[in-house]
Amino acid sequence: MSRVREYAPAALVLVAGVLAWEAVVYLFAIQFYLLPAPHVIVQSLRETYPLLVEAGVYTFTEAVVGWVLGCGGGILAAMAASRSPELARLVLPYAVASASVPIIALAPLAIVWFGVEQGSKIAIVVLMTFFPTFVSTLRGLLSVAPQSLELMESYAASDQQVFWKLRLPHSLPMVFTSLRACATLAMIGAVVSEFFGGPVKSLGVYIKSTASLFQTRQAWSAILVACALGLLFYFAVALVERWVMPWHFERRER
Amino acid sequence: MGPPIIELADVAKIFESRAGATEALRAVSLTVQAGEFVSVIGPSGCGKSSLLRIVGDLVEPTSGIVRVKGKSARQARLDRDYGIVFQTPVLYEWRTVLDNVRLPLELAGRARAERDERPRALLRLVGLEEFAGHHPWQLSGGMQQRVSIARALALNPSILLMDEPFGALDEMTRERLNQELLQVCAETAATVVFVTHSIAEAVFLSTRIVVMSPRPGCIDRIVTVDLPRPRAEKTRALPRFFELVTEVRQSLREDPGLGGEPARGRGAR
Amino acid sequence: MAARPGQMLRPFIVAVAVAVIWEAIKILFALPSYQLPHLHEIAADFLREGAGGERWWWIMAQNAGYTALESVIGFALGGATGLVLAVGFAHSRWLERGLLPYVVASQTVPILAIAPMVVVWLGTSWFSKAVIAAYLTFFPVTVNMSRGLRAVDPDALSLMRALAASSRQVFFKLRFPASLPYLFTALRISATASVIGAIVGELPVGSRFGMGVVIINAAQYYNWRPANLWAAILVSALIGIVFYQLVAAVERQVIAWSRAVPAV
Repeated sequence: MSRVREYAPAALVLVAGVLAWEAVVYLFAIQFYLLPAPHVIVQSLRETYPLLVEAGVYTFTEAVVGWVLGCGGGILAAMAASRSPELARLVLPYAVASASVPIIALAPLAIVWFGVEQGSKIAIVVLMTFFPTFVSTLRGLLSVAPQSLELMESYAASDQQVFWKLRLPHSLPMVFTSLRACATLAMIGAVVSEFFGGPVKSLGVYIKSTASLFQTRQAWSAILVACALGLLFYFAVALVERWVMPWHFERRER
Repeated sequence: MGPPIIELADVAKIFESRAGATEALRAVSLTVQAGEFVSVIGPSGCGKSSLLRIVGDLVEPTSGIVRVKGKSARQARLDRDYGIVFQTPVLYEWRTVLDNVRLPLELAGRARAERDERPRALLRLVGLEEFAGHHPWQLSGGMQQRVSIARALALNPSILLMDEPFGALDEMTRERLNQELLQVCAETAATVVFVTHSIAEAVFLSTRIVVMSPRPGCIDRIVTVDLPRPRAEKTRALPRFFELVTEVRQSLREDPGLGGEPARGRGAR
Repeated sequence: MAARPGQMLRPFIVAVAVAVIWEAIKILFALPSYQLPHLHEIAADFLREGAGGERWWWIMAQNAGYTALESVIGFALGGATGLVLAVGFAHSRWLERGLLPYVVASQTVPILAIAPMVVVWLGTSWFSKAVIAAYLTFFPVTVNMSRGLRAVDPDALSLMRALAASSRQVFFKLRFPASLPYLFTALRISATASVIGAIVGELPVGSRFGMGVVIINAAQYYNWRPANLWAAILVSALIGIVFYQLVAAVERQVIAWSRAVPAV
């Protein structure tokens, strides 16, 4: 029963929101090209379904592959860097600073280097997901309490053992937080880098071109597909997180 | 001997949680006269912190009557009749030491002059005047706790409630602060209710010691401490000191085990 | 702050190192200027004269200023919104339960992906870009600030209660100062996000000013002048870095008291 009470307000807001949207469009007779009503969007979804599925899969692939490479690379790099804390301390500020660079601005260059197909978008997603994951993982690996390390030392544990039995499990929460955030970033990165140029059968290009032609209901249906895929990705990662760290999920602050 | 400054009649406290109901306090009755130094001592979970918080209107009793300075506990709190010191200093990191002591004066809307002068005087009282411009993290634990005491005295309250204020400090600092606390109390003539789990501390500081039984907490015995005042280092070496410490210790040992029947609950002996 | 002279010298050393590595890569992998121009070619691009007769560094500066303005306005709007929401959430549990899920879900809506739509609605002026920047800003601020307002030591709250403080006093003298470190963590993230939002907002057809436009144009004419795109990207990166450092500097001033502020 408390579950219902927890989700009820949010559900109410959703229903109210959709109804309000319909009402506003109707009452103010908003032009179709400005803001289509929800039912119109759903209709358009049904009409262009095959195209959207193809575009969705195309873009989603970029996001997932980029995420795997970027996050995987970030984790491996962090593991390597953690072996030498001095190196880590040297590199960390720059990795963090890279977050202040609008990486998306590199998209056109990626196209120059990797062509206009998926490769360039994957490259951008890799760049976007690598640094945050690297920073989070490194911080997690190095932020072990000194007393925990002393405990391991008292058991004459080897460096390998300390790594696998202490540092790695300790860093998992931070790693997964970053993985979840990057899942969202990956999808956005894929779509937005397609704004800079890409094949017609990708979500980003489709959204941009239909919007510029004021075919807004098509654009919105594509946006909805992009959102859905982003959410799907996020929850998939969250599910894996829950499976890998069941003990942590209960403690995590909401 | 006028009317008691603090009166508790049949106070009980039951905490409800998802795990069930916990009876923290049962049928606690106590009177405190003005100027007394009353320690409350007992095993962990005996409800002594809850008792203190009930007097301070930070926790509502499930039943029973609480009167502080002849008013309800709530009114006493709203009238700012007491100062409170917690086990952690609870100083604000973003304020200097001086500004931390000034906090109660700001909250009570005191006049500018008082807000500016009184904190300095209080820091002088606890011997930290030269640290007025420092930030809390620049001070040791003992010093932070002294600032916390200075702050508790800001509005010149007639009552001081202290919840194991020296519990996190080492033995030597603790003994020194015990001495300082007594001096401060002598100057301000405050009534003190002091929660502790150090027997020696309780005997050294108090005029009376309330010994509590394990959960559900009720008053097991009240030991009157007839050591001469003012207390000093040599007080700790007096034979009577050891006798009292032993008496309190035995009292604590005699209590029944976990979740047992209510203790004898005879009140003052 | 670490040793002064060493700290000051470091950016220069890094710049030199980057230059060396850059040219080394160019030689090692035999990359043509098409893929990796010489650093001096990029530098030369800034001095080049544009179509209107002005030098490119001036053209870039103007467009950069435009983008920066959009970012700052969006940042301010989003920050204010986030603050109001966070304070609202701290006061009303119901408000929080009703809206927080949507605040969270709003970030899975790729606003950047909606950028073309936002431009359709709000026009191609600076306003649509600022709105995008604001959208990207308000979420981290709301979430972090909420957490900060709530992460108050329970004893500190007891203390305020013991001092019979009004809820207004508790908010301004305790909750708000305690939440500032959390706020600034969010603001640093938002600084960059605002710049990205502004640039992406300039991509859809119709915008005339801003680094996004410069980048798109430079990409179009890449075959003729590869260095131009690199120069544009460099300037865009600089806007992001400068904005971030500005916020970090303000943070160091305002919450000099907080040791919880991370080193970078």
